[in-house]
Amino acid sequence: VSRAGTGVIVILLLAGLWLMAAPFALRFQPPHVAWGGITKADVITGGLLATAGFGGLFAVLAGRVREMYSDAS
Amino acid sequence: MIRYLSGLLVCGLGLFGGGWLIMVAVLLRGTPTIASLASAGTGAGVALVSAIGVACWAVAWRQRMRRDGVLARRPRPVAEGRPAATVRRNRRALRRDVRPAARAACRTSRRDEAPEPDGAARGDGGPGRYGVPGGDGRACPDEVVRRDELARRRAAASGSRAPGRDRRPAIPGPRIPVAAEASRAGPAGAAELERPAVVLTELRALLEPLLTTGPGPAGDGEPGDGPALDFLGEEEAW
Repeated sequence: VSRAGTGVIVILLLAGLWLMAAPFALRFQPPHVAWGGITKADVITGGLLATAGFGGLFAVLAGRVREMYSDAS
Repeated sequence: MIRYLSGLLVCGLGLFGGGWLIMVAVLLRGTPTIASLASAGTGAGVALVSAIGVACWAVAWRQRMRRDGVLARRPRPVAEGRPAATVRRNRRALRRDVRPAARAACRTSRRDEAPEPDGAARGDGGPGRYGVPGGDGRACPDEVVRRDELARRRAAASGSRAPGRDRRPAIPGPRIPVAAEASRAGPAGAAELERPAVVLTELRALLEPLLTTGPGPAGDGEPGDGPALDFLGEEEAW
């Protein structure tokens, strides 16, 4: 179950990265043009999700390593 | 505990982010464009995955707390009534106990009553107990078999003599008084005649509750039954 939860966090990290890249990858946001509302929402939400996923992944790893240390001692 | 909390936090944030993306796509809806469709689709996927993640982390944390003894283990459901194995054991023990008691009752009744001179006994064609004709299965089974065997031997020893009414067994069978004799003996005598049947009836009434069982036992009650598996009982490792 913990493994599935970790996988979900990785998926959220990838989803955040995709949200940041989607307006430019799908070409509905031309370069050198002011960003529209959808583009702003996507980039901000994607950035938040990617940051949270990255931090959460490291927090989960750190917690697991800490448990392993406490079990070993 | 840190990793469960951080997992729950991140998944909760993802749930809110997915909901926010769906809301933005709905609120800024003009004509549905590729941008709004991509945003709404991604938001829905993120929300769904985040909900699954929240459930996973919650279950993992509960398992961990149950393993550490913080949460009490769920008790195993217990069926009403006795387990089926106990009922079977009781039934076998009852059968073992009743057979000697029935034999002893038959022997006691035979010993108490004098042999009938004309040889009319239970299972021998004569009148049986309580005026019922003999041979109706009221005699003890082993006595019937023994009597038949003796009659066969006597018939073989006498040669051409055919078995008839005047044939008498080598060992006279138990004397079963007719109804008239029972009535002549008075109430005390009748009560004495009915003693084996009364003893058997009382024995059966005493042991009847042991043969009842409850509906659908969860376990058989055998020593080999293992404990119930925990729901989502997964090895906590990754």
